[in-house]
Amino acid sequence: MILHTLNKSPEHAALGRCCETIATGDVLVLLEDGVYCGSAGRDRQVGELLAQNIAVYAINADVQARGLAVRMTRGVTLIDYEGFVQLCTEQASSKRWG
Amino acid sequence: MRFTIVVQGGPYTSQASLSAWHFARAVVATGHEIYRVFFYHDGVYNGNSLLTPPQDETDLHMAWCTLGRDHGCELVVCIASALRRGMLDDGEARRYEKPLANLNKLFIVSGLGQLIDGAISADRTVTFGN
Repeated sequence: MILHTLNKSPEHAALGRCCETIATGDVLVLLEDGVYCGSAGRDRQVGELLAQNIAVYAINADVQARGLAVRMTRGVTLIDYEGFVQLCTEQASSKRWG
Repeated sequence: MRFTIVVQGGPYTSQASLSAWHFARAVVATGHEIYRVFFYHDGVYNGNSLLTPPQDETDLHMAWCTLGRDHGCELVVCIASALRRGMLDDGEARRYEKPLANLNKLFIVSGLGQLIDGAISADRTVTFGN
């Protein structure tokens, strides 16, 4: 299974391309401006992924830096970089979208 | 588990190199190994020994040097990306008759073969870009 990383806000085409490709069993890690994809009002596509039981994570430091801590979508799990490394070990490979 | 980390963003231009550095630190902190850090495209600017950020900001160049020195991970810059951006080691500066070399000696100038080797030899390859 694949760990997908996304570092662009939802207005960027990267999110759409990621959603077309991501499959059941894959996981998505939002980092940098990618964390906006999991914030209230901008989370339509991430909500669809969660509804398909695709796990979505966001780097907590990037969430905090953007003041989004209270705006993150329910179901998006906040992780630190150690958690990010752990997810990489659990997935067979990684793919960057940006 | 062994990781190759690919850095495609320049310091202070995007968040890519800072994210990659945080990730790299977490790799070694959790008992894993970094096989190679490959700096590609604007990522080669991370090897610039002349970078002089304000003292109250993270010095990304020194941060990579410290990581390479303390954990023995190889820091490789893509030669094609480096030369066209004016990032030269002593050998390339002599070859092209340039007045100075600005690539820190902890960084190795090499080709894309090292990226392929890094992807094959490591268990995981993770890319950070603009």
